[in-house]
Amino acid sequence: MIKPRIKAPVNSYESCKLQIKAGAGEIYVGYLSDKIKKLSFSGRGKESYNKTKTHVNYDEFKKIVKLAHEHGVIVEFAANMPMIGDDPDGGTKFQEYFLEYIQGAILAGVDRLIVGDLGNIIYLRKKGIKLPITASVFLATINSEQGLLLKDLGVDKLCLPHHLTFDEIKSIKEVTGLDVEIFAHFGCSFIESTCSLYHHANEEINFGLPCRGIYYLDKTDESTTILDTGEDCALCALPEIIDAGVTSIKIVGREMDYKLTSTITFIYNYALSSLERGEKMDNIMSHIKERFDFDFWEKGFCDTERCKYINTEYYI
Amino acid sequence: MKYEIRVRDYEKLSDIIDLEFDIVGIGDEGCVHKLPNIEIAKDMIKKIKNARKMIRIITPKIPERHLRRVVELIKIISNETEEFWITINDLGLLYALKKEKIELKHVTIGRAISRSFEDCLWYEHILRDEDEFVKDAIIQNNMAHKVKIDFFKDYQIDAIESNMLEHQEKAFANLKNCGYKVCVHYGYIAVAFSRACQTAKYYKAEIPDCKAKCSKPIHMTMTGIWDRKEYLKPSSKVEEINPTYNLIGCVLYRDYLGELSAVKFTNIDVMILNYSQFENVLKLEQAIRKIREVA
Repeated sequence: MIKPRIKAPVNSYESCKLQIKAGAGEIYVGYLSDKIKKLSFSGRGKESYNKTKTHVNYDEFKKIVKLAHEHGVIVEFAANMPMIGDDPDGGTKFQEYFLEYIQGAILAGVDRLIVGDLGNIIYLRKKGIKLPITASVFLATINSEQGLLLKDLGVDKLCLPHHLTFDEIKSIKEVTGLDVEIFAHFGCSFIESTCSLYHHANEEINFGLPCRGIYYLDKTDESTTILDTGEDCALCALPEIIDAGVTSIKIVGREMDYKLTSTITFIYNYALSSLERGEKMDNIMSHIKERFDFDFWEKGFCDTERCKYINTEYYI
Repeated sequence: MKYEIRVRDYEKLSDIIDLEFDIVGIGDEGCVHKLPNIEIAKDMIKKIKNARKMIRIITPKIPERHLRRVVELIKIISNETEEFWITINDLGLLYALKKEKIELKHVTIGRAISRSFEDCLWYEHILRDEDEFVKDAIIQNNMAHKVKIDFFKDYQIDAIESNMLEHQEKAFANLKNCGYKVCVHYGYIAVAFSRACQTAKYYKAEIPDCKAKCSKPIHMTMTGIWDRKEYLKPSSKVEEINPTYNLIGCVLYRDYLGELSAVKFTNIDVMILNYSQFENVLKLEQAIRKIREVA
């Protein structure tokens, strides 16, 4: 068995320490750029609605990279701004800002870049950036042919969208020969790159998670969470995830309390290490329930049947 | 400016075929199951050709398990008729068609790839404190991007689809300067696309036998906010923004809120109307007439 690495969100030096302690093999992090005030060059605003900081300042960033490397943890740099084009006058000033952001990360010693726009992948390679690239979920790699296209452009790791089947994950991995990352914890209802229900974008108005909100339907005079097809937990699916050849499992949550996200990292790491020792998933779940305070998890994810990669009946 | 009417169901073709317009779009930007099978595709092509209209095949994002089937369908259609347009919403499909050496003359990038920050109903709020330059750069259409244009040169792409938005005038001009035709969707802005179909889930319908369930939109307004802990009543500011949407299959849309007279038609080559968004064919005809008057 090849144990997938856990890729954990980091939004402070303290969070980095906790994530490493909890068993993260990779972290992802972005730093504050002064070129954009509220948004960022990664897939989040600088803060979320609840004022949690999602990015760190550059000095803290350098310390995080150093700490991670001291513990053999890979640092993936969040540079996954989902859409970018030329300046309105046809110039490239905004892309140069993006390049400066990347160069700062390279100086700090990051290991990989997470890029979320096809043009940015091409642009960075043209500018001589040789660091390995992870194709962000914002590229919506839903099939192996897109994986091959990205491979041609120098991508060597794919972060796959939320709603895929095990067979599809396995096929994408086998056909492309690339490293494959999937989302272990928390998820979206829509395909990320195509979704304009923005949240965690430094909004001061609380829209919550819009796809999980309640909507009133005119025609049937009912209120329902009709848009909610989000799946949140992949704990029970870990054996199949390993079997599919997944390299990294990602925990979402730069916008969340790091005590929560590092607890999630800890639980996944516990399960993965137990599987590595040859234990069965049923037994592992029993141990988790016995040894740890698991109530919040069961109420939030198990009871709501938000199981990832298992409930696929409404997948097109 | 040309006019295109999209039909997501074969049975609806006869409703619109005799209207005065230029292009018939077949398929759906969200769902692979709305693509016709080979026999139906052949029959539709024949009917559309007889009506002296152009044909566009619309393809959505294609999950791994459907990819080969779609590539084969496009291959057969390209053997059946040389002159057809195809809308691509999946880079993998684009790559596969090229690899298979399927000759395509007119490829359009669809709006599951061609996006703008302005697609979001509350984009102005999110960009509230940004400098004008940054704001303009961020709401630019992501396809008005020279590095992408160079890349797409090998893929016969000659047109880009876009939402009809109030601040895309410069973006459309840029796309035209890049040599693309600009195809704009009338009235309804695509906000989000899903692979897990919300309509099928709502009706507890089995995929793919659910096709009739999404022939008309489901209209909705946000009345409860999920803040990860509990549902909250929307604030007055949320109510002011009024998150009102309609769902067709697995694609969420919102209305275009501006005046039609505010649209600059100069840089628009094709105006696309989706028949599913209209109550009946009369309303569709009225919309075309209205656009013709204003444009």
